[in-house]
Amino acid sequence: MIRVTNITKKYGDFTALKDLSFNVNEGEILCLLGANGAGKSTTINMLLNFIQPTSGVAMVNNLDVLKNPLKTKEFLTYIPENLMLYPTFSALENLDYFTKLSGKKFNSKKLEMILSEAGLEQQAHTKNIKTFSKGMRQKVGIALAIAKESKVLLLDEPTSGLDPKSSNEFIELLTKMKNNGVAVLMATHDLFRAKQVSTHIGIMRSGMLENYSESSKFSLKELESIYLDIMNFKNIG
Amino acid sequence: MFLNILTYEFKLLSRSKWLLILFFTIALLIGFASLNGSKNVDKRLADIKEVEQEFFQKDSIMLGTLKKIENGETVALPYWQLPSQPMTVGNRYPRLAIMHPETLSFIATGQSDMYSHFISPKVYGNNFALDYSEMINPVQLLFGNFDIAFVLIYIIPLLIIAFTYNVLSKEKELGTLPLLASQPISTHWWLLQKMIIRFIIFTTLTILALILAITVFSLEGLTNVNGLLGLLLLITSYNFFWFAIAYIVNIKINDSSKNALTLIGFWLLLVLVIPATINQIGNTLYPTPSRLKMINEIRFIKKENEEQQNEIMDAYLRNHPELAQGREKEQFGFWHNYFASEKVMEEKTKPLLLAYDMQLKKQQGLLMTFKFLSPAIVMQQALNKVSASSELHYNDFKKQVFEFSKQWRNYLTPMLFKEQMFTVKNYNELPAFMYENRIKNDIWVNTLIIFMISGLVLLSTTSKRLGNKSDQRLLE
Amino acid sequence: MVHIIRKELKELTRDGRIKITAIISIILLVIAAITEVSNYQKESHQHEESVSKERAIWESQEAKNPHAAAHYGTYIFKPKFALSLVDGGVTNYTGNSIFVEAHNKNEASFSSATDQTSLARFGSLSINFVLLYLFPLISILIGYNSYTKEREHQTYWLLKSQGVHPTKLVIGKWLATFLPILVLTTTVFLVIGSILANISDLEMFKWVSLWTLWGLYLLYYLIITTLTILISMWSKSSGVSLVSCLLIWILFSFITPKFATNIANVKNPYPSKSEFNTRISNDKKQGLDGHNPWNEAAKKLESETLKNYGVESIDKLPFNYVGYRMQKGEEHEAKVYQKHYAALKTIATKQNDTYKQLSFISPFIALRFLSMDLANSSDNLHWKFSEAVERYRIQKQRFLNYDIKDNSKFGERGYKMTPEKFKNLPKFSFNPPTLIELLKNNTQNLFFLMLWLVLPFLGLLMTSKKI
Repeated sequence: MIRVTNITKKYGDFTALKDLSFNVNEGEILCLLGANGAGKSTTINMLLNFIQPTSGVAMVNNLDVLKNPLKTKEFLTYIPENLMLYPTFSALENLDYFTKLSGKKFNSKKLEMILSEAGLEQQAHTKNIKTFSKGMRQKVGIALAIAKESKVLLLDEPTSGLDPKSSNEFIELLTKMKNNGVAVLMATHDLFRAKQVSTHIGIMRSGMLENYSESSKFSLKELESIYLDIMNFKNIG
Repeated sequence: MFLNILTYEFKLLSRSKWLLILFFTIALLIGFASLNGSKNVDKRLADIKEVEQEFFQKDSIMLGTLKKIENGETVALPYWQLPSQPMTVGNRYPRLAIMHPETLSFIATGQSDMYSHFISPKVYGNNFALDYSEMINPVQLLFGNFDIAFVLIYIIPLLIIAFTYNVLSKEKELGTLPLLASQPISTHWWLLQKMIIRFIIFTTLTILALILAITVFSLEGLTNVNGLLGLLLLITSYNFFWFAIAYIVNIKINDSSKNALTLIGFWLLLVLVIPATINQIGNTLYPTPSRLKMINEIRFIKKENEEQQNEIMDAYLRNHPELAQGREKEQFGFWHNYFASEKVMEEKTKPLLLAYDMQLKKQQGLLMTFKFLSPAIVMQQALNKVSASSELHYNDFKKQVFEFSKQWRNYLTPMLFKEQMFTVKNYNELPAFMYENRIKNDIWVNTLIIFMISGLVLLSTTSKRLGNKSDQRLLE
Repeated sequence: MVHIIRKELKELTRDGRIKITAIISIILLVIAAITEVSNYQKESHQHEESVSKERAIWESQEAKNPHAAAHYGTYIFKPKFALSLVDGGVTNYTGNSIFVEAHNKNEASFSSATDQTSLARFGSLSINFVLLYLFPLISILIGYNSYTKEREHQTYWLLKSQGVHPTKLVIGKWLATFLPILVLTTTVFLVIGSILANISDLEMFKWVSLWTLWGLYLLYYLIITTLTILISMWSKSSGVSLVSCLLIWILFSFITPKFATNIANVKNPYPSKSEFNTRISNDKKQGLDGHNPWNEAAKKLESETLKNYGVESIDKLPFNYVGYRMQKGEEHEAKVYQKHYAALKTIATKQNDTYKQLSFISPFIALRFLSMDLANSSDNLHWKFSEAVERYRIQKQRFLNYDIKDNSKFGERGYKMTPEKFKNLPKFSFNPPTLIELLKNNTQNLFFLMLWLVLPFLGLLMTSKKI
């Protein structure tokens, strides 16, 4: 579903991404780990056509993102680190608006079902987004993915700022979506959640994918060690 | 999708109270401006009524006196005040030349606050020296009127700027832009639809407020369907222009305060700086000849004429043998000499007046050429024409008065030379002035011009740079 | 505080927008200055030429009956004042010449606005235009985000945590916002002063008046600066701050003056010219008509004069009664004009008072009136000029009528004044009010301007301690 081949992005002399290549198939979750400025968000922005690559190809559902910027967006849903919605609209209204923008149309009942499926409590459906926590807003984002029947989900630091309970709920939703065949690309600092939910892990540093492997191949502690080695820090404790 | 954006845009605007704020602001501004405009027109009509009443009163007194004279009754008036003398009629009972307001005159004050709308050209005195200026506090002329034209030209664009400066940048500030940009719609196309919706809402409110104001303050205005329709289209085109600018700025800059700054910069440029600069350049390149100079030259010519009175009279009678009637020139009095001299005066002053007209035409020409630099100028010109308050209208009024005064003199002068008495019969035959609005109301042309300028602005900027394939710049 | 000012100015010099705006303003100012100076010189020259030509026409009259000369009349031209280069005021809308003749007080005729296109109503790119409208915008541009940018860049909390005294901070920002405008304005006035000193008669141009004008404009810019910083303190974002400041600018410069025009018109409407002339004409008819010996008042004057001189008939008087009667008629007419013009002046004054009262909404109005007065281009000056011309007209009529009275005999036909005598008519002279007089007459305007500065400034200081 997601195929990135030799993507390079340069800003003048500065190389943000260098020869990046990876695939994320249906039912897979790839977590990209890395420090700030490693290129995780840049990778996601490439797939959204927010940034154009200097060279290389990014494909979503076998469509070149650069050549088909709008078509590829039909298949994906993006949840940024801080998903903001229209504060004067309710969750239902926000979902309705974005769903229609993506070309799909549902009645209120169906939308409410989708919101519930995404884990949002019934009484919150008609409340103004102004009152929502980050976790609740993310649920609306997931609801959008469900409504769009997205084949790809792009997530940027989804668990940052979430309390453990909300984080768990979110991971459960992700797992559910993975099991439904959605390809998920998640940029995160959270090693624990990455290990918990992913099928594959990629560690990025200075725009390069330094390590790419199946997450089942190592334990959390081993993952942490690999991560810190790559980041050139000594193992503490 | 348009319906979706329309629905949610309405919800957004009504919940943020924008619709309410806009409606009340526009209604208040247009209402107040209409009130002022209609008051000005009412004053004009009241002044005209008063002067007409005076005129009819004077005429009825004159008629009464004429009847007495014709009946052989004694009239206690000195010779030079008797209405049976054609020159007395020509000087003391001149006809009234009135420029009536039009149905939409309340829209734009234009030049109407500077001029009198009625004048009585006499047989004595040259037309050039006729003073059409009205009595008004010059501070009022300096500051101007709060009329509908002011609201439409100056304030409406500012409201549009306040309404649109952050349409896209607010999404960025709110944080909804990434989610929006990740949907399968072009952000530019989405923004365009939002702008169109806002344009429709804003223009509808403006038009509604205007129609309401016309209904309340000047119902007659509704009868001028063609004019009204033209006016509404003109307003639509002007609003469209500002929305087009706002759209371009939102796309190109996408930062709230920079957007506001740029849009205000455009407003300053188009509404203040360009018109003021063209005016200044026009005055410098084509200054209207000094009236003082012309007055001095006319006085010199008058002096020359006085010295050559006899020769002038000879020449005049040669040209108008029907007026000589076998009289010797010594038998001609003041008025006879005056009219003979007037002819000479007209010939000698013709080049001066032509030069004067030429400069005015050049100024007007400059304006016509450069008005395309600013829709505000096009709008002002169009509104002044709709209201019949442009300088073209007043210059034409002066021309019509000039033509009439010739008629007036040509009716009475032969009577003077033929020593005919003025009678009641003559009174009924006297030429009457009828003002005709001869200035073409090219509101449709001006509307088209503004639409074309808007189109050019949109086309020239919806180039590759604008249609950037990535939304990177928008999200930065 | 000096550090604060330095930092603000440094940021300013690195800000592209400020540079662009300053450059554009300077370009516009240069265009305005070139065209204005050229027009000013032309008009000055025209004025001198007109005055001397008109006097030449008067003095070169052949022997003529003095009353015929009175009817022939002469033109009096309004002087061109030096500071009208800075502020042309209402001169575009008032005539610059008054025709002085027997029996009639005329209005100044042929204002230049009546000979221009309607584009003139947008204003002209004059020096005054730049000073009044563009320089305040520069202040706004510099200061609108003085506080909001600190909040948006999250540097405000850092600043506060350094222990900077809020009063010092606000005054530093206030001064840094004002300094560029101070420099610009001072430069402009210095250049204007040098130009005027070179092209004007030094009697007409006074540096002290120019510097007073400079001070007034600076006062206005201080007001704008204060309000801008205050709004920046209160606003949530730079965008909101900018829009609010611009709203204030528009309210001050455009909306309130026009609003005031309509209110003034409703409260104290001017009569129409026709109505005004009718009233004068009716009043004139009530009294003495110098040309008409059969009129009531003329008969009364005759009997009184005969009684005073103890003679039985007017031919026995020691002077030509015709000249005397004409002068009395002239004086009666002058009184009628005086009465009606005084009433008109009252209306004009009340209208101007309405404007000035609305200075509580807009200090722009107070500044404008002050500026016009100091530049001798105001409505007040025009009234003074018209009144001076009227006094001259009466003096002139007396000169001519008394020539008939004193130098001709009653019943003498064909009496003519010699050409040499025409030269004896004194020339018209007019002195504008002094600077002190002008400032005294504008105490209300000055008061409003000071109020507009002091109150917001206090608000600024108070708010700085709260945020």
